[in-house]
Amino acid sequence: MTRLYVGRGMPAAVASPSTARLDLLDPAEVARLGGLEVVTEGIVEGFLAGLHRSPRRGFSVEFAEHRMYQPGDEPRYLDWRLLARSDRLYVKQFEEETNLRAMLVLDTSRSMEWSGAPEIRLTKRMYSERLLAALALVLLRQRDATGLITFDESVRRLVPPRARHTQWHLLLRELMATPPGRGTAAEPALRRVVEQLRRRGLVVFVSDLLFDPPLALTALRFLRHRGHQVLVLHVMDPDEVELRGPAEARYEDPESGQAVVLRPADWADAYARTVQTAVNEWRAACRRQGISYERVTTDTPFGLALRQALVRSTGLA
Amino acid sequence: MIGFAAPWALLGLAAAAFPVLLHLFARREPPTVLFPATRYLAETARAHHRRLTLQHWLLLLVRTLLVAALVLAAAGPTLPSGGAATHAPAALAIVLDNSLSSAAIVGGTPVLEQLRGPARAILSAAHTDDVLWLITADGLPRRGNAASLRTLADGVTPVPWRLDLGAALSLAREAMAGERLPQSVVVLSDLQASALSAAAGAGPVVVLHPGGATVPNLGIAEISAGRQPWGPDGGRVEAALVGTPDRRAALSVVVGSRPPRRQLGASGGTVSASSGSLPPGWWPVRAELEPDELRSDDTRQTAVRVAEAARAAWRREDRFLATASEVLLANGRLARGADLSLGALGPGASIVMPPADPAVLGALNRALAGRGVSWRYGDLAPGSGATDSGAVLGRHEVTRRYALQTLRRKDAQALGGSDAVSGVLITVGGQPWAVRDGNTILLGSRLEPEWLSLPLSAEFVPFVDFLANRAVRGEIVLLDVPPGDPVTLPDAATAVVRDGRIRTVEGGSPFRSSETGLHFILAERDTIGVVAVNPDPRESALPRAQDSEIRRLWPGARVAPLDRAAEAAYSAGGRADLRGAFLMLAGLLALVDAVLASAGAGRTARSRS
Repeated sequence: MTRLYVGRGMPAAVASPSTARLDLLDPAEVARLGGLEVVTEGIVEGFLAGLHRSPRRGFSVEFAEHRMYQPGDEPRYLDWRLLARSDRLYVKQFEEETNLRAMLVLDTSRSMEWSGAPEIRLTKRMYSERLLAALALVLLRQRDATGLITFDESVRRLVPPRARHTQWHLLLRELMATPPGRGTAAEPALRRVVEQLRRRGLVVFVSDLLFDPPLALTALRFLRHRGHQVLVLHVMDPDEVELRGPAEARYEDPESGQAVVLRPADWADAYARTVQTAVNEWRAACRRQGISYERVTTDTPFGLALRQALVRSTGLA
Repeated sequence: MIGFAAPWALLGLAAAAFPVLLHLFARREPPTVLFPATRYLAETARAHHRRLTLQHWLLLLVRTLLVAALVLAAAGPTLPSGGAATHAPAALAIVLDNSLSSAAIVGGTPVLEQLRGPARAILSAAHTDDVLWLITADGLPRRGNAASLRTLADGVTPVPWRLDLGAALSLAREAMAGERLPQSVVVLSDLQASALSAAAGAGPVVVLHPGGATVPNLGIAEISAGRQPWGPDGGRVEAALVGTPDRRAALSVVVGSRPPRRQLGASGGTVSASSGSLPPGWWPVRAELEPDELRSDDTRQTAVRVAEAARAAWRREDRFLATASEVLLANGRLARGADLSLGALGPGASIVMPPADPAVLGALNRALAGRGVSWRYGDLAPGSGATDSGAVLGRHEVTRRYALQTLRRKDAQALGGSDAVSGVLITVGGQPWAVRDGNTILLGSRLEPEWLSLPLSAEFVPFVDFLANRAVRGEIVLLDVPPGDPVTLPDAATAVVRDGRIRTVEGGSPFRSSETGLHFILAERDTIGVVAVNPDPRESALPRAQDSEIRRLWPGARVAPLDRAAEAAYSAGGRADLRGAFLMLAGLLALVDAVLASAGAGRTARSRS
C-alpha cells in the first residue's frame, strides 16, 4: 500500500499504486517504483489526467487524434459526431505548433547530492532530475523545443533545445550521465542559455541556490531582459528548512568545507528565521526582475511541484 | 554569621565545580554532519552568537548555583536571630533557678512560679530535633525531650540550697560539649548578685529574670554558741543578720527547753541572747526571725553541749597553774576531784607539763608509754620561739620547750600541719607544742614565765579552762554547713541521727545532707558532735545583679524579659533555619535552568508549528 497525497501535508485515502496517481504520491515511494523513464511517464500521465484544462494551447491548433473521455475533460472537446455514430465518448485532441523553446538548467553541485533522510527521501539531485524529466516530457508533448544544461563549477552537459521525439530520452540520458560536481557556479551556465535560446523562450532554473546570489541574479536578470520567461525552482530538503540533528554536531558544508559546531536545539529557531529570510530575499529579488520563483521541498509530490512550475511558466493548469 | 548543623556536608560543595569541570574538560568532539545549508547556520551563528553564548554561561552559572544551593541546604544552614517557631535545630540547656531565694514572694507570686511559665514556654516551642537539658539547683543536668522536661519543670519546688549561676552555666556547657548543634544556655533566675560568678567555656547565653524591684529581706546569716561545752550556767547565743540594709526585725532565740528570748535585730548586726542555766547534755538552739517575703532564711539552728565543770586536782608547787585553777574553781569552771590531773600525769585524764628536773623525764616517758600514749618528750628544743596564733591560743613567746615526738608514722608525716586529727593542738614554729592522745594532753613547756610568756597574760586562765573542760575531754565536733555541702565526719563516728532517724556512717567519711536541721553524730552510744545544716547566707541577699556585671562575667550574654522567653531562647544560639530558604532557592534555580534550557527547544517547537 502506498500513501496517496492530495496536497502537501494532507494525507488522504490509501490507494494501490496501480490505481494511484503517481504525481500525487510521495516522491521517494514513486522513485522506488521503477526507473526514471517509466516513473516520469507515470507522473506525467497522472498529472495530465488530473488537469481540468487541456495542455494543448497555441495559435494554430490542428486536430491530432481522439482519445477516450476521462472524467475532468471539458465537454466542449467531446466529438459529438462520433458519439452519435458509435455511442462512445471521445474527446478530440489537437496539436499545436511549436512556439516555445525551453531550456532546463539543473544544478548538479555536490550540495544537491544531499538528503536529510536518505532512507525516506530523495536527494535534491534525484528529486530535481525527476521533476525536470516530467517537466520536459510535458513540454515535449506540447511540441515545445526543450533543452538541458547541467552545471556545477562549470557547465557539464548541454543539450540544445529540440522538439524531436527522441529529445526526451536524450535529455534523460544526459541527466543521468552528469556526474556529481563540487562547487556551484550558476552564472556561466545561465550565460550559455542565452546562446541556446535565440528567440523568446522559457528558462527553468533548478537549484538549491546555495551560492552567492549576486552573479546568478545578474545572469537571471539578463535572461529576463532578453525576453525569456524565467522560472527558478528552489529545491530544498525539509531538513534544510528546519534544523534537526544530534544534541551537538559539527555541521560541515560538503562543497566549501565550512564548518560550524552548535547544538541544533539551541539554534533551530534562529536558523529557521535565517532560512526564511534567505527565501524571502530570493523571492523578492526574483519578483523585482519579473522572474517566477518557487520553493520546492523534496517531500512535495511531483504533481504539485509540476503544477507550481507550469502555472508559473506556461499558465497551464 | 552563618552556621551549619552538619558542616561535613559542605564537602559536597566540591560537586558545584562539576558543571564547570564538565564544561571545561569533558567536552567531546561532536559528530560531523554534512550539511549543505551550513552557510545559513554560519549566518545564524554570526547573528545570534552573543545571545546564545550568554545563555550558555547563564546556564552554567545557574547549574553551579543549583548544586551549591542543594549542598548548602543539606548542611543545615542557620543564621542569627531566628524566631521561636522557625528556629534551627539547637542544643538548649535551661538553668531553672529553684534555689532558696526563688521561694521569695514577689507581687503575691513566688519567684519560682514566675520562672516556671517561661521555662514551659521555651520547652513548648522546642522542635523534635532540638536537644534539651534542664538544670536546677541540685546541679544535675537532665536531658530529655520537651514533654519530659516540661513535666520535670512542673515538679520543681524551691530548695534550701544555693545555686551558683556561674557553676550552673559551666555545667550546662559541659553537658552540651559533645553536641554538634548550635548551643545556647538559658538562665531563668531571680539573678541575685551573690549568685553570679564567672563561668567556664563560651557560647551564647540568654538571661531571663523577673522584672520589677526585688523585695526587702532579712535573714539569719550565722548562729554561734561560743566555746563549748557550756557549763551548767549556760552561755550566750549570737546571731548575725543579713539582708536589705536597715531592715529590722524581731529575733527569737530558743535554747533547749528554755523560754524564747526575743530581741530586735537589724541587717548587718548581731543579736546576742543568754540561755540561762541548763542541765548537762546536747541542746538544740533555734533562732527565728519574724516572717517576711522569704521565709526559708528566717530560721537557723545549731546545738550546744552543756557539761559539768571538770573535777580536777593540781599541785600547789605549780604556782601559775594552781592560781589559774583556783580562779576557775572560784568561778565554777572547775571542781575539786580526781577525774583530771592538772600539771602531771595522773591515773585518769591528765594535762602534763614537762618536769622541772630533766632527770625524771625518762620516767615520765616510760609512764606515758605505760598509759599507751603515743607522744614522748624529746630533747630541749634549741633557741626560742612563739606559739603559732590559732583558734585555741594567741601568739606568745616560748623561751624553753621540749620537743614532742610521736611514735605514729602518720602523725609524724602530718607534723607541721595543725589539726585535731593528728592530735596536735598548738604548734611553735610549726613544731608540736601541745598534743593530745586520748584523755592525755602533753605541753612542750612548763606553764611558768621562765618557759613562756603565757602565764603572765590575760589569756592564761581561759587557756587552762580550755584545757580542762574542752581539750582533755576530746574535741566537740560542731559543723555548720549549707545543704548539700560535704563535711568529713570524725574518725569515731558510727551513725548520724536526725529527727530520730538513724543513718549508719563510716568514721572519717564525707557526709552531706540536703535537709536543713540538726544531724547528731554518734560514736556508738555517745553523741560526739552535730552537723547543723542551714541555708547558705548568700541566698538572703536578694539584690539583683546589674546587666553590666552579667555581661562582664558572661561575655556576650543577652538579658531579656521573661515574657519573650521562647523568642529569646531560640535566638540565643542566634540561629534561624535556612534549609527551607535554600531549598526554595534550589527550586527556583531549577526552574530558571529549565526555562533557559528549554528556550531553544521552545522556539524550535513554535517555529515548527
